[in-house]
Amino acid sequence: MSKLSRVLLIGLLIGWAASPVGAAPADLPQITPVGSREINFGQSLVLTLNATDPKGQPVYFDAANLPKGAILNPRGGQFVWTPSIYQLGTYRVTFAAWDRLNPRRMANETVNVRVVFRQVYNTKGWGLSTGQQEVLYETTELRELYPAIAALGIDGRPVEPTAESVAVGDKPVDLRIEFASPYNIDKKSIVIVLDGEKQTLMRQSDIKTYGADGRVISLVVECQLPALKPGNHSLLLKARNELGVTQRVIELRAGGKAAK
Amino acid sequence: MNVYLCQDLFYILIGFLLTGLILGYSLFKRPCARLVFLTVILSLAGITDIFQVYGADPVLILLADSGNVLCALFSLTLFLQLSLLCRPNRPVVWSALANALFFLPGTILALLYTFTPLLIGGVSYGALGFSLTYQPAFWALVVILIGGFLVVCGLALREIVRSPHIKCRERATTLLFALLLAAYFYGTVVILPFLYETSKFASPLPLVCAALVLVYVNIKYGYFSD
Repeated sequence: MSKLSRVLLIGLLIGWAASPVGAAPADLPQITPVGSREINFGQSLVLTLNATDPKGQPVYFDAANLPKGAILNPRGGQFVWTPSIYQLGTYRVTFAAWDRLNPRRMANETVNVRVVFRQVYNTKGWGLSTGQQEVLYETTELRELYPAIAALGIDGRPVEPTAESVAVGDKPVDLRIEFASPYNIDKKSIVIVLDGEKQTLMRQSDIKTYGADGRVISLVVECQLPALKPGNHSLLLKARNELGVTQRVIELRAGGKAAK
Repeated sequence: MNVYLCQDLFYILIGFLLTGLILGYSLFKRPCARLVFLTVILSLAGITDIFQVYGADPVLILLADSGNVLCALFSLTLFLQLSLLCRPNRPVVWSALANALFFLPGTILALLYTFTPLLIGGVSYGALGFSLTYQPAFWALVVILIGGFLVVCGLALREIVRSPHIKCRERATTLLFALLLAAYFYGTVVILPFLYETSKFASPLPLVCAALVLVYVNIKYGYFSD
């Protein structure tokens, strides 16, 4: 073996011994698996990471992809996070435990945290127990909490809320819109615009609220649009809450009799 | 810390202080067991409010609600007893049996409310708070509460209008004032929970004010002593 080959071989051996890949897994700190977690927004997720080092060295913790607002104690391993409504979704947080002898020698544990908006219903049982639990609503999408048009009626006829074009007669048009949101509807934000002109004669009814804050989860808006000239007209319906705005544009086809 | 939580904790503290004060008065000066009991009941509203607003568990929410119903029924019974005490010409014999009979309807209703699904069908809850589903029998409880309230109001008003004794009129006026404060709170929390928003800003302040007025008047004038 030439001198150069020997130097290369020794170099490779040293490199292999020093690399974390080459280290025996038993030498690494061991993290107790945490598993996946699921919480409702506004609730606090509290985890205490547990890790042991085979050499009895103190273990330190670190994390990658920590969500905004989350706190990890690097010495004790306590993880605390109270996600806001804007943080709905699934997060992959990777925790690492390492001993101070070699920061590169670390064990990783990835935890999936699902932040949901969930409303559940518990029937009351006899005694102090509760009966069956039923999930009334659950989502991880913020957009689904925006106000939505749940039902639409034009001149007393139900119209598909997703309809893009509706035929109307030549008389004043009675409009009835039911807005719904599992989160909230800002009553004052509801706007009806016909051909760029904001309609003011609106009546709100059937207002359903939820919780101690009196959040509006459903309401009906009624409005009478003026008689439309023959042709196509643009009707804009808009509502919002703290999370976002929903708007729909419906084309009103005036002229002749309204389609049945 | 949330402002409502601070309010509740403050009112709980005031409630305990008032209870201690009237208990000491009752033990060492002039007995007034009913007023002591009423002060305890009125002071519990802060605790049930905390459980209702911050209880993440449906059992806790239902228990807090049941606590409010129990307090509403018992406070109404005590107001009724105190309004009868206002009538010096017609003393009522308050034997143990008479007391038990007074509290019996409220106890039965509270037990039914707490331990059966006859009045409350269930609770929906989440991060936005909670909402109770009422059974038709719940409205019987509402009728009883409103009926009891009207009876006590009637008795107090009768004293105010008809009684020749100024002391009696003052007693009845104080009682009526405290009753209206209690009715405002329990009315928006128990009977018409959808109006809870109207009293939420004050949390259990009306009840603490009612207890404060009754305790003060009793310590100063001895109106509600046995």
